[in-house]
Amino acid sequence: MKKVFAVTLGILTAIGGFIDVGDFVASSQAGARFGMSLAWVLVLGVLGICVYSEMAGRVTAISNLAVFDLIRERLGPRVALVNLVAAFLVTLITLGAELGGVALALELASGVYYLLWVPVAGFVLWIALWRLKFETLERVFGLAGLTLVVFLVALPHLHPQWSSLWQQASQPVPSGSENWNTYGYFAVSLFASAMTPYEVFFFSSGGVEEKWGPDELPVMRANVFVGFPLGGLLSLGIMATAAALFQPLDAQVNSVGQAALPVAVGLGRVGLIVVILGIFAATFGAALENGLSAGYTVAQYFGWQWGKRVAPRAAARFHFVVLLAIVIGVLVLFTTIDPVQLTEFMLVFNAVILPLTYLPILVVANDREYLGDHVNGWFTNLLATIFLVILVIVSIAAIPLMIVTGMGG
Amino acid sequence: MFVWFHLLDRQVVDRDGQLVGKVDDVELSDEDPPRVVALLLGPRPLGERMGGWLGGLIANAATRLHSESGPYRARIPYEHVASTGTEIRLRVRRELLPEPALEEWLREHVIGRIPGSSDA
Repeated sequence: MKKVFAVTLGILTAIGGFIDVGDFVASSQAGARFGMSLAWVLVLGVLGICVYSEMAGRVTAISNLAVFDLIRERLGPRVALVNLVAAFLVTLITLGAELGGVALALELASGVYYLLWVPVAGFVLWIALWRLKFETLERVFGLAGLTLVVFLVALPHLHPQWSSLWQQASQPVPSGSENWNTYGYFAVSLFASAMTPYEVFFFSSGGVEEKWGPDELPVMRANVFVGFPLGGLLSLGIMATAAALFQPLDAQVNSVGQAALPVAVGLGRVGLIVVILGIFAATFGAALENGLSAGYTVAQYFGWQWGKRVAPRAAARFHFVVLLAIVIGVLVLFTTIDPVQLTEFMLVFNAVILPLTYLPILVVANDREYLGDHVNGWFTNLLATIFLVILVIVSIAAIPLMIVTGMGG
Repeated sequence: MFVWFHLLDRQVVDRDGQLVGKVDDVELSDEDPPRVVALLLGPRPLGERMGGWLGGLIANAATRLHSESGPYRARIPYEHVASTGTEIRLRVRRELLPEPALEEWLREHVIGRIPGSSDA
């Protein structure tokens, strides 16, 4: 019974922790402009993150190494350093975007301008990372993020034409006045939102923090193969409500408030309160993950002591990098860049670094020295290789598509 | 004979599993075939091994940051290595090795001064 409880709790945490500001922005924008015709990209992205998270989790459980340890060991110090700089910068931008989401949720709840909330959110974020235990951080915000299920609850109340949603989903082509370039741009954003690299940095480092061993493999797999797809279902729900409300009106989503609007229209005031809580929890939880990931990547490259298991003074360099990342995230927002636009940028740059993150995982997952009998089977390798090709295509296409479409136009 | 390929860039942990650093370079003997005499840890050996402008930059920065006692460069004699695998485990405790200057400085001047820094 205790085991069942642990598995259930893990799965619920994985569902709630799946959504971040990137999923939120990409799914509602894509839904508003293309209906459900990009839903297949989300499905593909969720399958990809499942395949690669399972590999990363397995490597961690067997070898006790996290993803950036592998990157340096497999790519050598030179390429890994380039990789580190890229991953670190992208993590900083992502942290800024998540903090922006937190501040916008607080603005929706309070009416106080979001920029005033940014330093408050940054400070509370740092306190949480400084004081709270790893398990507490993961559980509280993962479970609170589950409130985003309200999008699925709101969907029937918007009285969508189910047949037309289904028809859009089954016809993966740009609709109406849209062209293939913008379709491609939003496809790249959606794919990056599902496979954001910090997710595996955090997932594997979390495995080390929680001292996973071979015995934890079934629980890890349950979290990945049940939790992540259900989290992806929340993303689909966000897309579907935007498709139901905005697409018939030809309206675009340019703010977090608009993205929350379908729930308010469908469920009224209670729905609005729940959805604001959900956005807050999801973005704050993701900001925590990005703050830690900034420290994880640098510390793992150089071999420094890292993690929340030891007192901060025993891992001073790690905690300094985390603190620095939060300060930079706050400063990025102080440039007054629109957080939604920052999120769009963040998704493009995440798309660019996808292969750099995932290739070393695939290589090590086939190495018997690390994994013994737990190396990939042929089916996993087939899937992972197909995804690697997709990751390379997405990575190459991301910046040209951003420029050609003027960030989706 | 190619044993150092299985050492380079791997995580070094001490007797109790505390993280010490990466194997940034190895020192080889003059014998034929050469054997590994010591593990070298720290940004300076890392930069020197990487070479090129990027490596030069790292080695230089490391030297400049710690001008007083010389840059952090732990040389761990190979006799101290207990086992090699996906991580390199030492026979000794981390406290017996020279402490990286950056870690010490940040602990004394930044992290250690914040309330709660001693609580795990």
